[in-house]
This record gives sequence, structure tokens and C-alpha cells, in this order.
Amino acid sequence: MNCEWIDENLSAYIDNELGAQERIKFESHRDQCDSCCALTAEYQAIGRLMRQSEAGVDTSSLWERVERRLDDDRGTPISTTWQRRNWTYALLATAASVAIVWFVARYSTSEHNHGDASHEHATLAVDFQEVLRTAKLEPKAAIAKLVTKYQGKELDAKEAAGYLGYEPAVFKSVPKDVSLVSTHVLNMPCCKCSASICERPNGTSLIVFEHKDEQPVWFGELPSIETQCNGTTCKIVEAAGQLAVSWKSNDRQLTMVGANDIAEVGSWIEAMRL
Amino acid sequence: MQPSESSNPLKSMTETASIENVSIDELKNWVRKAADGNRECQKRVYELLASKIYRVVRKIVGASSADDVMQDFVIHLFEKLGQFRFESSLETWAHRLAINKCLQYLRKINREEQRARKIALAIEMESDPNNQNRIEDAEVLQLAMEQISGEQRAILHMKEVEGLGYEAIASVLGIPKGTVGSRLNTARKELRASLVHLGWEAK
Repeated sequence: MNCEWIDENLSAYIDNELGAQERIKFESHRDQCDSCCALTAEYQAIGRLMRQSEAGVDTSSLWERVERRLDDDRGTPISTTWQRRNWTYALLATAASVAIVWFVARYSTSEHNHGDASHEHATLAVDFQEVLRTAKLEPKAAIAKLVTKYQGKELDAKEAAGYLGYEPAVFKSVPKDVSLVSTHVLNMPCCKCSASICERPNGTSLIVFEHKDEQPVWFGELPSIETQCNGTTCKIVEAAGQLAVSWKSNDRQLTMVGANDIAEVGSWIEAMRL
Repeated sequence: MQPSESSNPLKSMTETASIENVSIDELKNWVRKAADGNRECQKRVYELLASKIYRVVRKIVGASSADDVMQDFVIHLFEKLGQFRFESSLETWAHRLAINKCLQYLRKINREEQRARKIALAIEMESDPNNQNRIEDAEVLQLAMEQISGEQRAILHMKEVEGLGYEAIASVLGIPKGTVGSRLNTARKELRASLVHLGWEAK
């Protein structure tokens, strides 16, 4: 038994891959040899360092990029299957916030590279952050900015139905104890949509976006998760400390911005089931 | 409904998929359908594998390239899934594909670029003697990892982070079990040398 043998079998010892007899021999030498003892301790410390340094992983947002590539490879047009609408676009197309992101993406990749494009791009990016940030506590301010930018106007149920071609689900039913404050229609770059402010009993608000058009949307780099809620697939995005939750109900794309938790999302899904 | 500001709803809604919780029949069904292009089953297979595979990819190619390589791997996985015969575990087979994809990527990177990066790193570390005291152990480890080969990063990650045994590692890498120990020895020796060069001391 010598240091060379120890050196050759050091990994097998650390990894518990040595037989019982060899293990005893190893420890017998190690306990009498300072350098082998120190080297063993260093290798074990390296293992601890690797485990402690391992950062967390979130692979949910990566799936969207994989899915886009799978579709590109397949050569299928966007939004032709339920699965596609279900996961990628159903959610994304609904929210005004998301629509804004799509518009940004379109400008960044299309031929609209004239002088105004970069200005438009930057302005829209700010809008997107603003909606998420202000939906809960300053919803009217958030809507007012969108109304100004996207030729919006406040309408009642009948007027909205005339403008959009359908009556927004929010006019039919909202969860118990929640009140509908206002509904505006917006002429977004991607589509026409409604944006409704709803107030909870405690005075906080949320904004529900709804539209019918299927529109390919780039979701940006925001982290997201998908989950089942009351049997409905929801996609949840967190940004600026707020949650945006999107789902599909029949032919509508719905997104609520400023949700509190999954129970609240569930009550909205039930209330707005078409 | 009262707002629950203190809770983290995003976190509470996250469910971690685990391959151990899926029956073999169910897994075979998903794999078959995923190979045929069924998107829902592709997503399920992805969710089962993504977290572990992403860690090993990130370890081998680095955080800045991990997303791109991972995407390539997933596309490749679905292309090859029809050839998987359940003769080994899906995880082992997928690990092998992922590691091969990482090593292919590393071979593509301009060697001069890698060399220049190493030199710049060494100069940076030596030009400021206090630097070594400022950087955290995790950063030192990351720098040291860049000094060893992709194969060595892969085998160390499988052993130290994932806790795989020699047999499983041999299966993933397609090498005899008897050579795993010596490869780990070499990898540990080189990593230790890099760490010590960067001023790390065992605690």
C-alpha cells in the first residue's frame, strides 16, 4: 500500500465504489499519511462546492422557444391546431400587454425599419411594463394610457358587441362580490380587444382583457408556468411583481392582469365559462 | 377574496414533473406519441427530462450558451425518439444525447476564441491580487470549470451533482464501468489544480 495506489483509487473511495477490503486498506493508509488525508478531504470539499453552487433551473419558458422551432421545422402555419392555440397563442393573444410585446417583436423583425420604428418600439415596451405594474392599484391610469395610444373608448355591453362582433364575457358574469367598473375597447396593433376594470370588495382591482382573434404573439423572455385550474389550462406570467393569467374559453382569449392567487383565477374561469 | 401579498402564487402553482411518478406503460405511450409529433406528449416528455438535462447542459457549455444548446438537444431528442426502444432508461438515453450535443457544440467553438478567453481570464486573476479574495466560491468554481474539458465537466456533474453511480455514468457515456473511476480521478485532479490556481482552499 502506497500513496500511488491511494491516488489511483481516490475517486472510487470517495464515490463508495471500492470493495470492503480495499476500503479498509485505503483508510488505513490515509489515516497515517497527511498528504493522502489532505487530498481526500480536498476532493470531498470540491464535491460539496459543486453541489452548493448549483443554481436553480426554470425550463418552462424554454419550451415556448422549442415549440416555435418544432412548428417552424414542421412548416405548419401558426394557430392551426388546438394545441397551439391552447398553449402558445391563446394566452398570449389575449392580454393587451402581450399584444404590445408582439407588436414590439414584429417591429424588431419586420421590414418596418424606418426612422420611427425604434421610437415606437421603446414606447411600447414601456407601456407593457406599465400595465402590469399599475393594474392592481391604479387600473384607471393604466387603461387611460392604453385608450390614448390605441384609440380606445368606453362602451356598454351592446355597443361593445357591435364594435367587437361579440359581447365580452365579462358583461355576462363576474365572480361573486366582484364588480365590473368599466369596459373599454382598444384598437390594438394585433386586434380589437376589450379591457375591463373589475373591483374586489377590498377596493383593489384587476383588468380583464378579452378578444377573439387568433394572433401569433411573441411572449418575450418573461418567465411563465402552465397549470391546470378547474380543468382549464392556464398560463401564468409574472412581471413587475404582478401576475398575468391567461386561458381560453370557447373561442375567446382571456387574460386577467393583477390576479392574487390560483383560487381567484379559478373563480374567474368558472364565471367566464362560455 | 382577500389579497395574499405575502404568498408566492407563482411558486405555489408550480408542479415538478418527475419521471419516477410515471408508470412505464404511460411513459411508453407518451414517448410513442411524442415521436409521432403529438405536441402534448412532446411537452410531457420535455417536462420529465428538462430540469435535469438543462443542469448538465449548463454545466458543460456554460450558462450563456445553455438555452441554445438545450433547444437543439430537444429538437434532436424528438427526431430520435422513434428509435428509442426502452433498452435503457429514457433519462440515461436522453443524457447521452444531450452530452453528445454539448460536446459537438464545444467542438464547433473556435479554438482560438477559447484560448484567448482562458488567457484573458488568467491575466485578470493575476493582475489584481485582491481579486481572489473578492470573488465567491461559486464564481471560482465556474472559472475553474472553464479550464477543464467538456467531457470532464459532464462526468463530474453526473457524479457530484446528480449522484449517479459508476454503472449509470458508464451507460450514459458509453464507456466501460472500469474506466469511470480513472476518468473521474483525472477530472478531479485537473479541477482541483484549477481551483488552487485561482486561490481556492478547501473548507
